[in-house]
Amino acid sequence: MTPFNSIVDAIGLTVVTASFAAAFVITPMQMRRATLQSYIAMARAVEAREPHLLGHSELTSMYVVEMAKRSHRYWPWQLRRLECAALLHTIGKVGVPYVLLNSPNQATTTSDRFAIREYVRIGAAILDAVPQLQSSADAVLYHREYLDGSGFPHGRYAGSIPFDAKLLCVASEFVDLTSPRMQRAGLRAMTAQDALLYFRQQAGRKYDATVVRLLEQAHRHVAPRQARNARHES
Amino acid sequence: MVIDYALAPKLTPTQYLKRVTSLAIPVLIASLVIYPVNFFALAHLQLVTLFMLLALAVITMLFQVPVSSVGVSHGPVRPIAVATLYLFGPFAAIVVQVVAALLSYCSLNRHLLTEQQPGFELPEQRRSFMRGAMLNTSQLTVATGTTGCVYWMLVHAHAFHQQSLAAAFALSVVSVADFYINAVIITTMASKAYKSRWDIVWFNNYRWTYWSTTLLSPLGFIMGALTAQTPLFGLMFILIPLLAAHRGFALHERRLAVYRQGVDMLGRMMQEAHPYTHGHLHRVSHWAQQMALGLGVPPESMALIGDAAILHDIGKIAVDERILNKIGKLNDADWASIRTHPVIGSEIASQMKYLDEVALWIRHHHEKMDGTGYPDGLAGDQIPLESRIISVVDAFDAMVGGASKDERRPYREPLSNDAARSELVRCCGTQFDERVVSVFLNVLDKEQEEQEALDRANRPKLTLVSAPQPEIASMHGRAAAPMDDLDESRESVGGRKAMG
Repeated sequence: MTPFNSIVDAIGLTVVTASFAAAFVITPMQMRRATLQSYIAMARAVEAREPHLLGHSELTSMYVVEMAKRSHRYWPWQLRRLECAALLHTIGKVGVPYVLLNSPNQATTTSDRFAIREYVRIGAAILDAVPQLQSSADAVLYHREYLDGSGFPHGRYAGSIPFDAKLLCVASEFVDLTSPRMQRAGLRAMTAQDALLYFRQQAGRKYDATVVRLLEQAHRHVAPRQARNARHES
Repeated sequence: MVIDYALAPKLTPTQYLKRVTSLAIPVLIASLVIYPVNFFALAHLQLVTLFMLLALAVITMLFQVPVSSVGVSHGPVRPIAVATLYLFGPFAAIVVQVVAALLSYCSLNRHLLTEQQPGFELPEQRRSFMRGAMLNTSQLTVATGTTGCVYWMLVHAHAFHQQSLAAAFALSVVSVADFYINAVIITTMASKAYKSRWDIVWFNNYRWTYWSTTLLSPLGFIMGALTAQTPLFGLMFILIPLLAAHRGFALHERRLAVYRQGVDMLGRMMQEAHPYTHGHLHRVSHWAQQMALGLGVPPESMALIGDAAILHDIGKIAVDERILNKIGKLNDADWASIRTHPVIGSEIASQMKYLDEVALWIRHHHEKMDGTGYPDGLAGDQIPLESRIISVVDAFDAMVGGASKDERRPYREPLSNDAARSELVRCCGTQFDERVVSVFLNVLDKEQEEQEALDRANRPKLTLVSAPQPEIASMHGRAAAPMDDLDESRESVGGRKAMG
């Protein structure tokens, strides 16, 4: 082994390692970050229409991903689809008139209520038009369906609601109920314990019992993280 | 890099192209003179090695990825050419490069020889196919040949041992030089073909290659040294980092696509919330890019300014449509809520790191030159140039807005082109930057001339079909139609006084 050989070996190993790192670690990471950033930007754009919901989508996506991990029904790479769906589940609200979203006693008339409900269809249509997001569109379309058929847009029953949508439904409603910024007339933010109690009562009726159990587990995990973030921000 | 068929038809046989082609011939002769490799006298093992190198080069070229939208593809073939140079001299390196490039060019584009593409004539198609092949041959010959000959004369032919660090270093330099000669030739061709500025084409295509080219430059030498010792194993081993580098490259391209798609989606959301903005955004984006060319904006902003124009009003998603479309005077509360839109818009855009600068431009697109704008009351040169560009274009399009009915703003009648132009000139210095306005008026003039030339070309057909068509005529009067925005136009057209 001459010194020349060992120098060439060293250079060779460096180049090989560097190109591997670039191809399989750094660039994919950047890709992922780029994608998430653009989805978060879109989520922010919708939330800007309803200022009291700021941060709703990001928090929902944290819950959904935690719940999905605990359900043991998804491979790691499938979580991505849920994350996108959760970040973008309110995107259809860009197509709902501003007054309806922001009036204090919102949706007093039936027609107003139906106009607001259109947002799930609009959102699913927007996602459906983008190849990378097509797999998330179903979760968005059905995330307001309840097991007993009382939800919208189609009033589906338990078995015909995709599991993605059941997760998203419970997570987003939980975040909604406990959000301290929820200042609509007549509604005060629930404590997390009250909200969990409510979900437990409705388990098997409106919500899937498995999903409610997952929510409890995820909450134990996400809440401390959430508190830490909040402290960090303030 | 290889010219794609996407670029080939746009290249006309100009002086420049002829020069590249004629340069290739002396380079080829020189490479033969410097090291006259006799392929028939090679030992058996050497022949096998050469053949393997060639096969590898062809394989890697078949996996090439397109580089942005210019019509150029990139395959990780350079290290193989450098290894060939090290082992067999410059002529063999040229042969390997060119054969690999031509084979892949022909196999990827062979349908063009037999199937007619929409909008092309078959003979013309064949001619530009041949022209593309010719240009690829000559530009690769020039790049590989010159660097190869220089290397061979200065380093390889001299007394010191071939397996020295000097040789390793020299080959790395050769690899980098080869890449950039190739890149310069292609950039020049593309910038002539698309009539755009050289530095912009360069920036869009090669900005990110500096590191990877340098980092991967020793690959060719390592490959050559390994092959000299253990021919087959060396080649196999080197294939792994080559493909890894290639994958990194492809992902990089896709990441840019992801950002573009994000901008696109935001634009689509904007349209969902305010349906009348669609054409407006695209016109504003087009003009902003034209003006950026005229104003000598740095190339790194060029790519972004179109996005900035698409997203400049994204903050209006958060403003009540009833206010935006209100007929009649706005009260203070209405104005307060409209004035939040640049800030909200910049907050949305700043979520994407790629758009950091754009967020700043969006924030300031309602600032005025005299410092009475919002949100920060910046004046003169404190306002970013890009924001000044957007504010002029946006105001103009808002004023003439409404060529078609659904684009018309409900609260006011559109102005004529001339009235809008004189309004821009009137507000120079107070609201708009004079330099920007004059460049914009030039851009408009040029477009009008082109439109008129087009009309003149089309006129005979029109008169044959029917007599005067009033609708068409009136649309041409405002060739650059428009629609949308609301407050800019209110402010510039008479709403200004009300605002204070």
